[in-house]
Amino acid sequence: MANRQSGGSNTAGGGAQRPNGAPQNKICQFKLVLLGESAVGKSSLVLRFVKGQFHEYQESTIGAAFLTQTVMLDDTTVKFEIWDTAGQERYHSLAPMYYRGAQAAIVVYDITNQETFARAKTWVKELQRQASPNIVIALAGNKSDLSAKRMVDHDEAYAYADENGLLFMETSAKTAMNVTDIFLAIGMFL
Amino acid sequence: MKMALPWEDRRLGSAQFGVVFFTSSQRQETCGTNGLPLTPNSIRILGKSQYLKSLNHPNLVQYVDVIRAKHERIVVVSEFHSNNLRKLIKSGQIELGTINASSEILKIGRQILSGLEYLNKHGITNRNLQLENIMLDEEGNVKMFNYGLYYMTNCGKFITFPIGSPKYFAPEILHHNTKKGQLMHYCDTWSLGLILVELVLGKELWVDLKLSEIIIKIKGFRGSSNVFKSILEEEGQLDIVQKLSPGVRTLIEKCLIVDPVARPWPKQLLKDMRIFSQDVQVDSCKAECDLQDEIQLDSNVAMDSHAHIFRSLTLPFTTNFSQSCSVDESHDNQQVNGDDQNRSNLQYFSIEKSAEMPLSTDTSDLLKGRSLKEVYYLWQLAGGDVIAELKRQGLTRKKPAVLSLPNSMTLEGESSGKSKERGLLLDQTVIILPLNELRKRLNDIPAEDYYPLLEFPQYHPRSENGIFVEETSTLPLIIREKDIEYQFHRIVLFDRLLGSYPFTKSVIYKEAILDIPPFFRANIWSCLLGIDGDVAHNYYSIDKETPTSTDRQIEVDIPRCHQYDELLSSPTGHQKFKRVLKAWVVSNKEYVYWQGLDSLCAPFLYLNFNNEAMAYSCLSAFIPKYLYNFFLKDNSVIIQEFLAKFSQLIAFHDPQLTNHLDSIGFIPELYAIPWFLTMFSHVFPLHKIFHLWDKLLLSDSSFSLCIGLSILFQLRESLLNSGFNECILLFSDMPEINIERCVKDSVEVYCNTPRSALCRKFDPPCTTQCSDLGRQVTLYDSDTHFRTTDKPPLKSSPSTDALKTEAISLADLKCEKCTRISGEDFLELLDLTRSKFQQPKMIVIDVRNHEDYNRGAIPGSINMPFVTAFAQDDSLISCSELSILNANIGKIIVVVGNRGDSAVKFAEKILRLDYPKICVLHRGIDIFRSSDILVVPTTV
Ligand SMILES: Nc1nc2c(ncn2[C@@H]2O[C@H](COP(=O)(O)OP(=O)(O)OP(=O)(O)O)[C@@H](O)[C@H]2O)c(=O)[nH]1
Ligand SMILES: [Mg+2]
Repeated sequence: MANRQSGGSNTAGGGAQRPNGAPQNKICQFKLVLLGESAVGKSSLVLRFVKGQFHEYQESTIGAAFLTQTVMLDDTTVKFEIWDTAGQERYHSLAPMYYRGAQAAIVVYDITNQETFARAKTWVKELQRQASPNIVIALAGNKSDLSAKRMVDHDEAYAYADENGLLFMETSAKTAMNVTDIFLAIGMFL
Repeated sequence: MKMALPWEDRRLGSAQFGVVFFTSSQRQETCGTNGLPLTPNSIRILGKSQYLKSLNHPNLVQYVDVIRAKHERIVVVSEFHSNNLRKLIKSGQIELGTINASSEILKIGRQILSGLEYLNKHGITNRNLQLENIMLDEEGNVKMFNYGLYYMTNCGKFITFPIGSPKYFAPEILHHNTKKGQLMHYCDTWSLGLILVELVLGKELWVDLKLSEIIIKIKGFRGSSNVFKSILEEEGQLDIVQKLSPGVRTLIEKCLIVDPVARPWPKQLLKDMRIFSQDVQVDSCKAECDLQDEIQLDSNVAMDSHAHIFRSLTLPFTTNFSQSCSVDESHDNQQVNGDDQNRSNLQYFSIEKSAEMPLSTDTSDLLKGRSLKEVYYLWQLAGGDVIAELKRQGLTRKKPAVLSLPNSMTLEGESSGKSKERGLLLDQTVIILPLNELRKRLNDIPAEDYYPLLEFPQYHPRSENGIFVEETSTLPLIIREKDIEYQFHRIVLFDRLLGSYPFTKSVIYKEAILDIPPFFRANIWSCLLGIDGDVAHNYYSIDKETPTSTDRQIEVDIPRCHQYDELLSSPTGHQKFKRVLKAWVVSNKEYVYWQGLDSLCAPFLYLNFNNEAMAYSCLSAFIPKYLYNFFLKDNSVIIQEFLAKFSQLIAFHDPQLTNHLDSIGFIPELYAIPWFLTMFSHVFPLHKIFHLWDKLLLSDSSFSLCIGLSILFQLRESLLNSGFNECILLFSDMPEINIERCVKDSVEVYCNTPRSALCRKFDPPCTTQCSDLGRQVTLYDSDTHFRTTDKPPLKSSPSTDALKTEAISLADLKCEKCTRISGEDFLELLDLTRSKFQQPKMIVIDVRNHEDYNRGAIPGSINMPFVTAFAQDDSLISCSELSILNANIGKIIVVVGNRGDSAVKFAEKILRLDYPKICVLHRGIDIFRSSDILVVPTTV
């Protein structure tokens, strides 16, 4: 059902809805997509970043959800348009509709679950092949508050990210650790 | 002979509602291994206790409600009888040593055993047997009380205080000889033994002893080979043995066998002929007599209506008992962990319930014939509030005694005085719920309303039940649901209708159109979904245990699905959730689990929490009807078609909105997938889903498109004033939707949309030749609407297939902004039988060229040739036809063309000009060629 994304993103990027920032400020608008296995905490990360909240019973995502957040980076207003996608493998066919035309992607895995890391790697591959060539990819090892149950080694993930030219951070939507940081790091990079 | 049927809920009779409460323990850890907060024990208890509500045995009080109150308190509402064994003993009514006493004691023993056996069969140990908890009803039959405490607290693990009175503890409990999780039905046997000894002696044992002394005493029995004898000896009553029947003696001796392995279970005792053989004969003889009495009583109904109702309801016990000695054992193993096998089967018997009206007009007694659960529900509608009642009686202000208790009871060390001992025990206070307010509120309801006469199928309750109910039925739903008199009538009515399902299916359907009383929602939904057959057997034969590749997804989804609800968030809820979902996945090999199936399951599970099999059956019946093929592994064409139809529906009813959303590229793919894939169960809380599905279940899957449109209607202003980002943000978090308005609008949309406009290629096969009630029963009464009864076909209509509704290919569908209308629907709108004075329901635009038009056209149609109709800027060129069109805005506009695509293009162009209700005649004018419908237009 991914037949027409360009229309959506073009209009979204159009100037009509831009907030009128102060004249001396530069305004940047990014389309960012979150990918990763189900229940790794994609929606939770977005919720933490956008609303500063954490819901234990965060509902699962069907299709995709959309949120925006505006932050100041130096003298630039950066507006993130965030597409939070459904993690279940079956919804895979919908994903291109969201990552096509995205300037940045955060691929999320759960540090307490090795399989989600494997899945993250396949997402990275797919993005490198199919998304726009200069897309910025960040890798987020989420649920870092559960380090007692860690199954994915920090250094291993770091090495993998390094090899593939990805930004990398371990995050926790629950404690807010590194959440804003990873979004800002992407903003800086762009 | 009318009898209470086994599946029927317990009637109020002479019972009251008793409330007990206790505090669940705080969990020590606050976080689980997943870093998320642990489920409080009170919620775990709440989940587990639900099962108790489904138990139904003549010697057990009926559990009615379990409430989670502040401070981790659990409040339990159940049937209550004021008389109990302790009072019986105190009253001195047991004549010591007579044969009479023996048979009386044996009867009590047997009834307790019968209740215990039933509990054991359902995986429950009582562990709370004591004199007060053995209540007696008016007729002196045993009703065990508070038997579920041990079960609901997970063998006492969720509380800090010990359950039961230590006096009745079997020695092995005090020796800590029991393993956790082990079935301990033999502990109950011991307690029963001690109770029987007290009955035999006609006094309570050991009243002067301190707890520690009692414990030493019980432990001391270890060496005794005959505990009964030892006790009698101690009490100086050895000679009593001679006066007892051998049955009683054997029973007590067996109960008080010290070695738990040698001590029989209730079930074994019941089968023991040495105990019961003669007595059973005596008793069954007596039962026969009773039966005779009963029949005679029955013929003299007028004698005493209340007694009649009551007696006929207690009768099953006497007849049941002889059967209960030979209950089939096959169930036993499964019963321990599986639930509700016995009751999960919808009942299909048509049984004439006792409908004759008693001559007495004292309505306060009539309430006794209603079920306990129903009376409790009505009590709440009458303003009853259990927590408030506890407060009123001054019980919640008290610091809960259990908070100050140690975590575990060290039985050896406790010897410091009586006051402390009492504190160790559970607060045994029982609050009685006063029913006067309820009786007052129901005072005005005439006796005959309790026994509506149903003469199928021409039953018209609303005209018979007086003006009041009729008036109320037009009030907003929320008010109706809170109106006690109205709900009373609805419940009485549906009670009768459901009892005779499936013969009453069409009446149920018809009544459900008005509204569905929440009290019976679960049952009515099951009927509407046409659940049939041996639901329980089907479900239990499905393998829900073997791990599959879907398990992980199910496991991560369940803790995120409607978790604001206490039941669904309880561990019991999670287990049930998982089993039902797994059962569905396993039994539907052609389908797969898509995230969202969990949400779909939630309403059914919530409503049938004690009936997993029914929850499963409802889900299984719901999906093929409303989400046909949505759960295919590759469902993209299904969803695309659905969404394309949705777009057309928006265009049909709201061109302005369509044009705006199109201009910002806001397509349904971006927001509506979770709506339709879960029939809105993922985006609304349960109470809203209930009202939405109450109507959905009366309709077909296309109704959900109408719901989607009504949601857009409510947000219309915001959508029209927003750009892409704001629009999509609006739906990322579903805004507050007024669900009653939404339902009303949806029905409106549904009724005002030609059926063929909603037709889909991937519709479930059944709805096209839909023999469903929906067509026959005038789904939504209104003659101006489409959903009326099937009309006889028009005489002049060409009977070709060309007129039939026919879905177009997905590719075409996606290209066409406006929906098509079938020849059939077109003819219905054209309504050639209409009189001259009736306004036409539609305006027909013929877009062929003048020559074709003049050769033969649809009567009343206007000719606006596609090629010449539009100006450069795509506006319509002014002409007389345009004035006619503009004068008819609001009516359905049918664009008719030749085989080519000019009609489709024309329709899209006028859609852009904000004309509403446009559709295109499917297959064009050709379909009428062979008929006598076309006429040569008279030139003006
Ligand atoms: N301990 C801990 N739990 C987290 C964290 N982030 C998310 N969770 C929990 O993990 C579960 C899944 O989180 P979601 O945000 O729904 O996951 P998701 O990736 O959006 O999942 P899908 O929508 O199914 O793709 C939820 O119960 C969250 O509460 C975290 O940083 N620490
Ligand atoms: Mg999510």
